[in-house]
Order: sequence, then C-alpha cells, then structure tokens
Amino acid sequence: MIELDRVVKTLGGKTVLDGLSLTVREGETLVILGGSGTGKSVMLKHMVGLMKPDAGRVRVAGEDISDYTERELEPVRRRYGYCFQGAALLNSLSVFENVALPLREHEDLDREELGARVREVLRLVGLEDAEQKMPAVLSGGMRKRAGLARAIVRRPQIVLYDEPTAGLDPVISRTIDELILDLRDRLKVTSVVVTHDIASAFRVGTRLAMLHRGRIHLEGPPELFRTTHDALVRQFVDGGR
Amino acid sequence: MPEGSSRVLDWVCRHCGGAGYTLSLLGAAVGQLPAVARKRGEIVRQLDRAVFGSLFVTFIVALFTGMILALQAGIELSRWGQESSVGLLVSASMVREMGPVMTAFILAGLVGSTMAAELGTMRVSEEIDALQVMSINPVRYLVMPRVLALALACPILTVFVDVIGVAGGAVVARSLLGVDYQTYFDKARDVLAVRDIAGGLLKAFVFGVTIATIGCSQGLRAENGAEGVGQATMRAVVMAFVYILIFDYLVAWMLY
Repeated sequence: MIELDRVVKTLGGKTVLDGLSLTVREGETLVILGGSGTGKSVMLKHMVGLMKPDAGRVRVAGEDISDYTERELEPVRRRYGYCFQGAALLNSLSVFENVALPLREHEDLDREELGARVREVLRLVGLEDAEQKMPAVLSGGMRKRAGLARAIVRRPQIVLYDEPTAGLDPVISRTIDELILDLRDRLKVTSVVVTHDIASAFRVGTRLAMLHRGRIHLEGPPELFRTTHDALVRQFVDGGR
Repeated sequence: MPEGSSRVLDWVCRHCGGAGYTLSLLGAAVGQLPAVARKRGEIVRQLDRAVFGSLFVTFIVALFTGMILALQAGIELSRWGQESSVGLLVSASMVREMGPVMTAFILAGLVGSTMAAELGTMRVSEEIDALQVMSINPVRYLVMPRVLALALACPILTVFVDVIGVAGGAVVARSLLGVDYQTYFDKARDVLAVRDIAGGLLKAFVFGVTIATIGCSQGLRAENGAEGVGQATMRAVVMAFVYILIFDYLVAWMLY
C-alpha cells in the first residue's frame, strides 16, 4: 500500500533517513519503533508528501508521489488520516468545528448530514460531550482523541499515528490503543503507528519495525521482537518493561 | 572568501529568497481570489478584527498627528501672517502622506505582527501541516482572507485617520492660532484634488497588501518553536515598516 524505496533525507546537515526501505501492507497495523530523534516522524511525513525525499522514491498504492506538487497530492491525501503528535487542532475552532473542517472543505453535505457525521466520530472516540469545547481547555488525552476523530471523519483507508500515546498516563494510553484497535476492526483501515512506547507497540501492532540510524534495523511480527537476541532491540524492548 | 563577506552574501541570499517567497505567496493569494465567496465569513472576521481592533489607537494617533501638524505649521506660518493657511497644510499632509503612512504603521504593529505570530504558532504546532494533510490549501484558508481584509481595512482606516487628523488640526488652529473653522475647512478643501484623495487611498491599499503578505509570509516560514515565532513577528513588523516607506516613495513618484 505504501512503499518507501531507499529514501534519503538530510535536515540541517544531518542525514535523518539514510537509504530507508519499508513497505506497509494493506490492512496491517505497522508499528515503527525507535528512540527520540531517529527520524520516525520524518518518515511518516514522507508517506503523506509533507516532506520530499532527497533521494529514493515514495509510492502510495503503486503511485510514485516523490515529486508530486501540492495539487497532485490532493487525491493521494484523500486516502489518509493523520494523527499528529500534538493533535494539531486549530486553536481558533471548537472540537466540533475542527472535526467538521475537512467535511466542510471537501464534501457537499447539508447541516444535518454534517452534524451526524461529526457526532458519529466524536462518539467513537468518546468525546460526544466535548463538541463545543475549545482545544485550549482539553486535556492531552482529549486533544489526541479529537485529533483522531478529525483524522477519520472522511473515512480514510490509511491512518498515520505520530506518537499517539506520548505524554499520556498509562490509563489514557491504553484507551488510545483500544481506539486504534477498534478503528482497525470497525473501519478496516491500514495503520502506521510511530512510537517509542514499547507496551503500546505490542498491544496494537500486527508487525513491528525498528528504525535506527536512518534505516530499518529489524522488522517482523511482535513475537520476533519478544524473542530476538539482537542487542539493540533487546535494550529497547527490555528498557520499556 | 573572508568570513564577513560570506555572512553578507548569506544575508543577501536569505533576504532575496524571503522576498521571492513573499512575492510568490502574494501571487498564490491572488490566484485564490475566485474563492472569495466561500471565504466571505473569514474575510469579514479578519476585516472586523483589523478595523475595530485598531480603531482606538488610530483615533489617538490621528488626532495628535493633526494637532501637531497644525501647531508646527501654525507657528511658522504666523511669522509671515499666513496662519489662515494652516488648514491647507494640515489637510494636504494628512491626505497625501501622514494618513496612509501612519495608518500603515499602526496596522503593521497591531495586525501584521498578530498575523505573523498566529501563523507562526500554527506552523510550529503542525496546524499548517494538518491543513495540508486534509488537502486544505493554507493560502486559500489563511492567507487570501487576511490579505484581502487588510487591503480593505487600510483604506477604510486611512479615511478615518484623515478625517480625525484634519479635525484635530482644526481644533488647534481655532484655539491656539485664532483661525475660525470656516476658513480652516475652506482652505483644506481648496487644496485637495481628487488625485490627492485617490492617491492616498491607493497607497493605503498597497500598504495593506504589503503588511498582510509580509506578516503571513514570515509566519508561514517560522521554525524553532516559540523563539522562531518571536523572530518571525519581529521581522514582520520591521520589514513592513521598511517596505511601507519604499512603496510610499514609489507611489508618490508615480502620482506626482
């Protein structure tokens, strides 16, 4: 579904992605593990065309988007929902208006239909009572859930999660993980989750990949990561327990 | 290459690149004008913020500018027994120069800086990225309404500043120079041609577009968190001041 082929990206003189190759398969939940600053978010931004590779190719459903303009990217991005690390809600809009924004901009819905679509996803993420609240008054967990609601309101085929549990307490983290699983089961979406939360990775991932020094160090099913003797992976996995 | 020269070259390259980006942003905003009807709510909101948010400050500045002009001009003119012409000087100065320029300076400080800070915060908190991922063009959604709103707000406020400034001058002319209102306003009206009023409004329009485009451009290019937003805001104000004066000269040169 998504293919990164020997992608190289240098930012501020530092090579963040160094010939990274990775394939995301349809219907799976791929978890990308790695320490802070290893380029996980940069990799995610390449998948959706927010960043262009210096070398290498990015393909989405067989379409090479590496050199696409913003206009050419529009139909490609229609496939995506993107949950940003800090939720990236528009602070001038209420939760309802944030979630309604992509519908208002792209779909010709009447008031009732729009309200129904927004309330449906807000109910799914457990925010039906917070629709008139402004982002500034929401807790971290509520912001993430509102961001998730906005990401899925147009029923995307692929959802990208950038550190969905970062900065949240274990109870809220588990709630977010359950939401990711619920969305996968209900909406049959392909998911890519970037995280350094190892417990969360094992809960939601059908396949795991570890990013190190700009490349995939190891990839495989969660079981492989539990049993491998690879020192780097062991240090990461055991450190998270 | 010596380090000093390299720094200068680097500064020139960055400045030229920034100017190029700002110009292309203006072009992109103009290209989004067909979406005006869909964005009318946001345009009205921005216009409201710019006009009513600046009204009190522009009133004070306009009043005292007119009063100072009348006082200084009156002192000189009274030496030659020509104090009755003070209305002529105040109105010509206000409508041709002081009105548009003072209004633009106020809007650059109040609104241009707000635009840079607002969009800069949106950039560093990934809100602009979020718009792009949702296939919402940030130029259509954020920039075009702001540029259009300020292109309208600046001439509106300039008319207000002109009127208050000339009125402030009249109060000083009457109370300190003994020039009655009838004489003052007759002289003020006599000196003004349609070209002066249209020229002042044209300047205001150009300044409005300039302030908003620079504010948005600086905000959209902000990076490095809160510090970067602060830098972008400062640059937006300083650059707007510089370009206001440059365009003021160019428009005056074209008109007169």
